[in-house]
Amino acid sequence: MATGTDQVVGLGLVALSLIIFTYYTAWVILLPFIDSQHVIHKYFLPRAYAIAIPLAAGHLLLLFVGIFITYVMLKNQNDTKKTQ
Amino acid sequence: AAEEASRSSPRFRREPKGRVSRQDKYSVLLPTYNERENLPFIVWLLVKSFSESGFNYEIIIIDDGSPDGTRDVAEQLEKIYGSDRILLRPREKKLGLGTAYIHGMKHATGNYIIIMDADLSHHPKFIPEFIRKQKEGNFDIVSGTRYKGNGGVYGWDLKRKIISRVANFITQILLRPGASDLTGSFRLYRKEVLQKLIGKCISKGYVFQMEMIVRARQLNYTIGEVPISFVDRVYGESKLGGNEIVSFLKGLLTLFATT
Repeated sequence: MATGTDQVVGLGLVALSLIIFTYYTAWVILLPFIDSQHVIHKYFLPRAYAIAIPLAAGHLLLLFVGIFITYVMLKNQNDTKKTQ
Repeated sequence: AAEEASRSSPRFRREPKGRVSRQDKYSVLLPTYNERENLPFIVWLLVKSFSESGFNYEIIIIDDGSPDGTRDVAEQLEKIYGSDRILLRPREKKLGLGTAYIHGMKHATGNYIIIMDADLSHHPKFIPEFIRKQKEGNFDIVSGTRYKGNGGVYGWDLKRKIISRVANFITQILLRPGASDLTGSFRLYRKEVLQKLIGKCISKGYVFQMEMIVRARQLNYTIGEVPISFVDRVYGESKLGGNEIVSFLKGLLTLFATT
C-alpha cells in the first residue's frame, strides 16, 4: 500500500499546500490591517502579485492541459490514419 | 446464517413476502478475457470465501472468446465444482463490459449480483463484508472503495497514484456522487437495480463504472461502501496513458452535462 517514499511525498504535498494557504491568507487578509511601516511588510511582495501569481499559475495549468489534450488527440488521429 | 436472518428480517422491503435472507443468493459475474492463469485461483478463492461464510452463491463466467483457452479452463472448473455453482456462459467475441453484465444477468438466478474483476485485483475475502454491509443498511448498492478506511492500492507507482487521486478529486467536485470510489469495479447490486441501471448507461471503460454510480444517485438508490485493498493485476498489464486520461475527461464532462 503506502510505501515509504510515497508517504513522504504525500505528506510533503499536504505540508506545502498548508504553508501556501497560511502565507497567502496572511498576505491578503491580515496584512492590510497592519501598519504600512511595520517590518513584517518586508517579507511580502507588493499586493498586486497576490492576484498576478495565481492568475499566471492558472493560465499555465490551463495551457498545459490544453497542450496535453491536443497532443493526445493529434496522435490518435495519426494512429488511426496509419492503420487504415 | 440463521442468526443473520433473524436480525435483518424486519426491514426487508423488497423481498417477496418479507421472507428472509436465508433465501438470498449471490451471483458473481466474472467477465474474462485471457485470464487462463488467474481463473482457477479466483474461483477457488470465491468458493472458499463463500463456503466459510455460508452464503448461497453461484459464479457465472462470461468469457469473450479468449484466444488463450480460458474457456477450456472454465469448463474444467465447472466439472470440478459442479454446474450449479459454476456457470459458463461464453460469447463468441469481445463485446465489452456492459453487455457482458447484461448477458451474465440473463442467466443469474440470485437476487443479488456481485461484479468483480477476474484478474485477482479484487480479493473475494471482502465479499462477506459487502453482504454484511448490504444487510446492515438495506442498501441497493454496496461499492468497494480504495479511498476510505483501510482501503488502498498495491502495486501502483507514485505517478499513477497521483493521477488517480486528482481524477477522483475532480470527479467528486463536478458530480457530487455520494460515493468515494467511482472507477472501482468491485460491487454488489440488487439484481433489479443493476438491470435498471445498465439499461441507462452508455459509456465504456473507466467511465462506465462511474456512470453506474451517478445514475444510481439520480434514481435515488442507496449506496453503501466497504474499504477494499486493490492489487494491480499480477499478470498482464494495466494501462494508463494519455488516451485513457483524455477519454476519462470526455466521459466526465459528458456525465457532468447530462446529469
